[in-house]
Amino acid sequence: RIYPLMRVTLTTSDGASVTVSRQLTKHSGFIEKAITDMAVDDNAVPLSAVAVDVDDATLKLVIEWLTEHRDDALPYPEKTDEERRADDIPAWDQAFVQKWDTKEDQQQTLYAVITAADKLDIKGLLDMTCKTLANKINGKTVEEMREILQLECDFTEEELAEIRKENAWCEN
Amino acid sequence: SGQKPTFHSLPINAFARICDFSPIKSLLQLRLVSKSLNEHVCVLIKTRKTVVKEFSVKYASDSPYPLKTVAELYLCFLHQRHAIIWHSCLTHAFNKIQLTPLKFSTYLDKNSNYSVSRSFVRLANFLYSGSYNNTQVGGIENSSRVLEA
Repeated sequence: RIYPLMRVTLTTSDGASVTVSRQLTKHSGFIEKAITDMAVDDNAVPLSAVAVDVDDATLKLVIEWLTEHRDDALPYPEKTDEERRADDIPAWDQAFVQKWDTKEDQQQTLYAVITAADKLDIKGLLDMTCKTLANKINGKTVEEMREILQLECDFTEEELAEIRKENAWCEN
Repeated sequence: SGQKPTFHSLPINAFARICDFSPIKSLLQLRLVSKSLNEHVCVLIKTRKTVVKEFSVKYASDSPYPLKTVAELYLCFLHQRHAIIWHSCLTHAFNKIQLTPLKFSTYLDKNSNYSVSRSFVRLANFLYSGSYNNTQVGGIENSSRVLEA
């Protein structure tokens, strides 16, 4: 497919604006729909900016990921329940996340990127970041999960016992 | 918004995606983390197709009921917060000789104080009869209405 409109300006929730190649935005269902909804004439210049509900810092990370994945196949290949796995994150993506997913940050950046990927409908980025979070949780004890997710236990002992009984079929 | 993102601020679609990449054992563990997480996970487990298979594999053979049905019933009750009834029945079934629907009903009548047990018995009998399809496992109340119709 040819994209006559070669560049798109995005305005962020904190007032910044950034112009990116259409080769990148084609991976975002949200941005592509916004462009279509504007009924842009292929030859029309300039295009009104597309507003995205993502802050500038998070959008920069999204664009960095899109730049690396600009040649990924579209549409994004959806997998069935049985085909899904969390241990197939490409090396570049793992290094990309490690750069900014720090303990001090308490995963706030990861949550922000997951939310941005969902809002912008970038399925590849959403999958990768969700796999990253799933990998942090999988195989952990309940106490470790609470620590990772920073959640407090609000069950009574009786309620916990009931759920453990319901879960018993899956125990070793 | 200016608020720092947290696990609870993730969109439900993203939370479902995270669960997609978690094995059933981790999902069941997540139920124990907090009440709100338990609510979300129970809904997601019910829609996860592989749970039926995973449940069936765990209970490899010996069940007097079709394993697919056993698993779907578990999910049905889990969603309705009555999984404990089914777990009791299942444990009993595997500890004793194979149960017929009649024995199963008798066991439930004697061992369960739950008001839903009658609906469950009807549902179990209905499923066992083979005249069952997926669209009717929407919860005890819906299933009961189907049976009474």
